[in-house]
Amino acid sequence: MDCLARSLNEPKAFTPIFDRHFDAVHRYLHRRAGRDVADELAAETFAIAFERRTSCRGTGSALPWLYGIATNLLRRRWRAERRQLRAFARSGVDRWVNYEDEAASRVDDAAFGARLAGALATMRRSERDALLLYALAGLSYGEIAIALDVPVGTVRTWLHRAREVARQELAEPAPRSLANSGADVNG
Amino acid sequence: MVELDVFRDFRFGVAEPSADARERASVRLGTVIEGRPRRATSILRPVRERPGRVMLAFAAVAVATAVALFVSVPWKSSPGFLERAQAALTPPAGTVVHMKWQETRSSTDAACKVTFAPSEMWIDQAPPYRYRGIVNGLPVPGDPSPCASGPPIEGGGTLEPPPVRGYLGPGDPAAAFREALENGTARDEGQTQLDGRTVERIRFTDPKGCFVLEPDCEPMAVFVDPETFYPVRIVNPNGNAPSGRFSSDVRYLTYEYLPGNAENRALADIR
Repeated sequence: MDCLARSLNEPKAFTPIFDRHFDAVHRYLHRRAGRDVADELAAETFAIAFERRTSCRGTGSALPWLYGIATNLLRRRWRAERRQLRAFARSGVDRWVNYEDEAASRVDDAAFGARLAGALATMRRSERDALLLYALAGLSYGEIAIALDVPVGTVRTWLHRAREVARQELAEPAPRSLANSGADVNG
Repeated sequence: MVELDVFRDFRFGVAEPSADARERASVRLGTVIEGRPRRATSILRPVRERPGRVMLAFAAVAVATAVALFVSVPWKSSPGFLERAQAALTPPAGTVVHMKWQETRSSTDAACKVTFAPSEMWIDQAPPYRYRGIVNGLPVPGDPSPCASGPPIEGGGTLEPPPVRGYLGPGDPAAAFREALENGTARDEGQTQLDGRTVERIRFTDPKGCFVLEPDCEPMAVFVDPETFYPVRIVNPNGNAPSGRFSSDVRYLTYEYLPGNAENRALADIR
């Protein structure tokens, strides 16, 4: 039975899907692209999901499929996302997200966050998508495959490459400038 | 997986969505569920009581032109293509987009093929971004065939937000094209001959050719004028109708920017 099957005949049955998953999808988008983008794209994700609910696959939660739509929407903005990551990596200041506890200011985490941002900016887009679905959304390999509509083997390949990039980037003794790295040419 | 698990901390602790953001998203979803147009306000003639029909008809065009424009492939276009296209597609300020197209639909599932009468649309590029269209190829209530067509419908309203880049509702394919270029999600596949003329074939798809995930989605073919980059023809094999899949072949008979004078603005105003 397809996920969301009930809402095919009863459109309002889709509403609980929104209630259940909106926060998770928004949080994922917020962590990837900032709050303003998350506000817009989270709404867009559910509007698209409803319109295309016949294409929802799987027998379990609709969440991986929703993450897939959200990830596709982010692809419109992959250059902006990469610019954010590079700026964060260079400056150590993350101006795009809002934290629950701003008072803590996260000074201790900022430097490491900047290094993670630098590594993410260096990855190809597909590798970054797979990694962030794994790390931020907490999806399994199989769920990432559903989200990105690719074979599980492809997910394994992308995550393997992402791991190699992360290992290399995070092994650097200090954050390096990404301004002229020319990295991520293929997104 | 240690190298990957460290990314679980990336931007950990971000704030929950605001009540306002959640409410706006909920209202938007409710609008879609109830079948009301969500990106445009519209006025219809002569069937004002069925706004969804015009949106569906407009969507047929918009889907054919814009859906796949937002997905990505690695950029490996010929030298200068990006610069030439961006320069050519920068719209003259305050103009009115005028386009006329003709759609042919065919379906193996429904064993049918039909060419609809031409449709026409004007989009004012100045606030409040009024548009007006006369659309053929509208679905017929109660007839599931993708080849069924009701009478032409005149529809219009205002578009929000500009530029027109939505995947549903009235859409300017060049606007979506511009966005794809800016985002690096369009790829030049070189020149080819089509209907006796030279055109540039552009690909706007991810490897699967789908914007939203559909396992059996096929790539879409988009052809543009090699000089102006205005749309010439778009072939989208991914149409869905109650009676089965269909292919939509949209030929642009006219695509132009009209001067933004009062006379041309009136063409985009259905009031």
